[in-house]
Amino acid sequence: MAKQSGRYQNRIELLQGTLDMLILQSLQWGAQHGYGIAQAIRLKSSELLQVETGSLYPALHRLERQGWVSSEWKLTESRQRAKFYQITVLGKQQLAFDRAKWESMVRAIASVMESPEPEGGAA
Amino acid sequence: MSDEGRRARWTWQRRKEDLCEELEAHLRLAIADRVARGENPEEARAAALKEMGNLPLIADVTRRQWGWEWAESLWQDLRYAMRQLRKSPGYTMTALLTLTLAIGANTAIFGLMYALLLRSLPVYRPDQLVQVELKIGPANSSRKPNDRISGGEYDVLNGSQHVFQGMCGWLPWPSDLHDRGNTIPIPTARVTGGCFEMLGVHAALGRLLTAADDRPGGGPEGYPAVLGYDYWRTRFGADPHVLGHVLNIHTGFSGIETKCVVVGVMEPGFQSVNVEERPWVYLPSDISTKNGRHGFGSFSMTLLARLRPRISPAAAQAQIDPLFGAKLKTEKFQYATSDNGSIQQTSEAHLLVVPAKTGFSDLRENYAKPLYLIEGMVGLSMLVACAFLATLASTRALARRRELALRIALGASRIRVIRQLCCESLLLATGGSLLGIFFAWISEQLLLDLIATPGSEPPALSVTPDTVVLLFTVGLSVLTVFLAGVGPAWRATRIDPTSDIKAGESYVLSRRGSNLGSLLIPIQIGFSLTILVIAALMSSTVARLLAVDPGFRTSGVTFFSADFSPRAKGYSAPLPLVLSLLDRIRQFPGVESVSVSQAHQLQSFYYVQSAKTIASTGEKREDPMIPALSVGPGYFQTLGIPLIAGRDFTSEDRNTNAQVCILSRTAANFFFPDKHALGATLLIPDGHKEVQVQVIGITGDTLYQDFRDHPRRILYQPYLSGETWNPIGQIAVRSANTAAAVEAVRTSFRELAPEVALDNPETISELVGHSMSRERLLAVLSSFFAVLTLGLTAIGLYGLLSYAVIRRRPEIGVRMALGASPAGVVRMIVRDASRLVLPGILLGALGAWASTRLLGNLLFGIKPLDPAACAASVLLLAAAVTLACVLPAKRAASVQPMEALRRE
Repeated sequence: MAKQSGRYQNRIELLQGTLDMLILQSLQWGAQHGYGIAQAIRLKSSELLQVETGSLYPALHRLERQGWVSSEWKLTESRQRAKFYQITVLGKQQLAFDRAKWESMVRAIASVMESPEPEGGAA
Repeated sequence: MSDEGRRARWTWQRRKEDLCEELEAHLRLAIADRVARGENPEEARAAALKEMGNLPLIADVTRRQWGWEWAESLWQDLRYAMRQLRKSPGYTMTALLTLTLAIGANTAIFGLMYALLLRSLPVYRPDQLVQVELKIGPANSSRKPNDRISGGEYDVLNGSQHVFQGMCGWLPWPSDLHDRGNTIPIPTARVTGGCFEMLGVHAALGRLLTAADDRPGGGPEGYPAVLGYDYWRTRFGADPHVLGHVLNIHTGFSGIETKCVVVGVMEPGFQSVNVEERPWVYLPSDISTKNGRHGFGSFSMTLLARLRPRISPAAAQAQIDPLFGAKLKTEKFQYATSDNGSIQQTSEAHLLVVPAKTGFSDLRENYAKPLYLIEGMVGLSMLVACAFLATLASTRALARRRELALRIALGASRIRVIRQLCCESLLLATGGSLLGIFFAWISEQLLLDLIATPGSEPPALSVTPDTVVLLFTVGLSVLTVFLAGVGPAWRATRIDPTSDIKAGESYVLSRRGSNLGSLLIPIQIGFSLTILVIAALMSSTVARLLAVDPGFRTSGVTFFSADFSPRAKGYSAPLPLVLSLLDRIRQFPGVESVSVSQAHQLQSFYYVQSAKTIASTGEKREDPMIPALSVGPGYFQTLGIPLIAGRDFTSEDRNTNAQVCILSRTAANFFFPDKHALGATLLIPDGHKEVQVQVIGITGDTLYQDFRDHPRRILYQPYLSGETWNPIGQIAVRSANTAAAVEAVRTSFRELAPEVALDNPETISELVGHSMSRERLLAVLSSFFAVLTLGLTAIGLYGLLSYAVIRRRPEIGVRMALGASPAGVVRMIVRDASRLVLPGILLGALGAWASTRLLGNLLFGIKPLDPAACAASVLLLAAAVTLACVLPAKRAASVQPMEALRRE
């Protein structure tokens, strides 16, 4: 989708593939519908990560096609019909894999960013 | 659309709706959330919608994740193409008709070629099969080997060879079947014992014949017989209780009815090792010992064998040939051969082993070359059709250039636009293939009739399209899509949006556009001219063959072959019966004359005699192989052969002991060069003595079977003297029409000899046609393709020129305003056309030169590059091209300068 400048300036762009991990992670605690997932990610990231609908639904359908989540129409607490997504066993394995990858990535990036300069100059 | 397709579409639709619902639910939840946080519903809705973004776009992007996007867009493209085609019915009909004819003709010819030349036998591992042929004389002689051998050679191999896993001696055997009071001729095949086991074919019911079945005398109840699958279905209604049914079959000339007991039914699919044969009943080979099943001299058996693993045909030949040579020495057998008309005896003969994966065929030798030639022609027509369609498609695409440019400017990818354009070709090619297969299916029967022997069933080639032929058709349509679809689409989408949208329709035919046409039209003209020349040469060959005077009249006579064995004693025909039949036939209205003979002109065989004269000077003149026809009284009158001197045979000839004969003029001149032949005597050997035969008449010369031949020496002997080679007689009837002859002969036989089997009638004009059937086949097909390609080329050229005239309207207007005359404008258009036509004619001349080399000995009375035929072809082409130029030129000449300029 076209980027709308100005609106998202204080938000962080999601890395490719990270969205999938975040969705899987937020489904860890139980089935949730698309809106709920987006809200959960926003709240947990202190409003820093805003998942756009145009990325969320393609991602959900992609995850479903890969068999990492399954979906079902259910009623919400406010008695509204919505499509709920649930993480599958395969999805849990994928999440563990993604998490491990992400952690090693964070460590690697951190060690690059925090290493002292060879000449001893300040970063 | 199939059920599955409908279900798939339905599921697809439901998933789409499901996604919409999901997105709407998202919106509702967002609104509810905002309202719950205290926003006013109106504002909440607006904010939620804004946050959400473009709903249909989200749905689109999401659907792409399902992985079926290509199918959806393909479906869209197909529907779009369908709409486009429906919008221009003229184009669609032209393209469909072209494709139907081109693909249909290709499929039909390839189907015939495949069935006759290429298809493997439907048996186990056909690649292991070989055929054993016999070459009489030295191994290195240029004599063509016999593809039929005699039973004696089979017996030699059967006992001694170690290179074959099994052998199959196959003897086609026309027999007569007594069935429900009728006698009908039926095709049967006699097979040696191990035949079916070697081939690896199975029984649909009961069992097949085995080695134990193949012995003289048969079993206690009769000879075992296996029914052909189709015969079992049609005659017995696929009755499972047919086993044990008794068939009364006359085989050969034995005159004895043979009882055959059905022991099984052949599996469907297998007919024979001979691809054009379809036996109704399979019998053991030893059913008729009288006809020399075990002799050496009569060559009627096709011998197939299965090689042992890891043995090559050459190795097999190296093993069996010496075995056979040794056997010939101990048996002291002599083969008779005729070289240059003289009989020679030789004790040397060799066996050859050749691959026989595709079985055996009598038509192959005659038709292989014409079929390859025709396939070549059909291929050229296919290319012309593709070129035509490519020109048509690119003109269409160019006309839509503005639309295409607009779409590309709006963000359509080039690939997508090409795909859309190709979808039209795909639809057309698919439609054309389906119609083409239908067309092929119809024309296949006509093709078979063209090569059929008259009177008999058309060759029983199985030409129903099978997998290979259908794959060939699919290949053709893929080729069409590529040549006539992808290429033009690629060119049409090479668009610069800005200039093309601005230029619009008036610019459409750019330099690039005319290049494709100027490339394809000369090629089309070249191919058309090549085929035209072939058609002209072949038609002229047929005309010249038909103009040959064969010495007898080529119309009005109908022949019937009658097997008198049930009423014959030994090999002699029952003369009293024959005479009363002739008398009875003569009484029918419409019958002008009737006669009987042992063989007749235009038959594929004749009998030979040895005859000589010794002049008073002691000079000996001998013809050891003179064709000898036993004919009854009235034969010459019936066939319209003039009697030059003397008299015809009469029915009195059988009562006198005097030996008489009639000679053709050439024969008379040969035997009696310097005196009157009439009344002179000829010496004809009869056993160990020589008989003096008096010449009582001289007839005009006739050809025999081949119209390319020189007149033959022919010796006519009286049929009624009773000495016939076999009890099969040919009844010849001259009548007002064929129906009258058929009625007369059938009724007479039903009344007087119901047990005598009568073959289907053959008219003399059918026989004449058949004697030149190869030439006729080529002439008919090449004319068909010449008309087709010439038509396509002319239409293509017409289209291109008309388009050019429309495009150049302003330019023509300017020229005329500046003083160009209408005639000058016409000259300009003609000059443009000739720039396309002349290279085409050069190309065609080259093609004609190359392809007519291949016609070679198929031509008669005309040289491969006959000036008249070539000139006629070029003239015809020029006429078609001129016709294509006339309308565009006229239109150009009628341009009103002011009007054209105003439009600019």
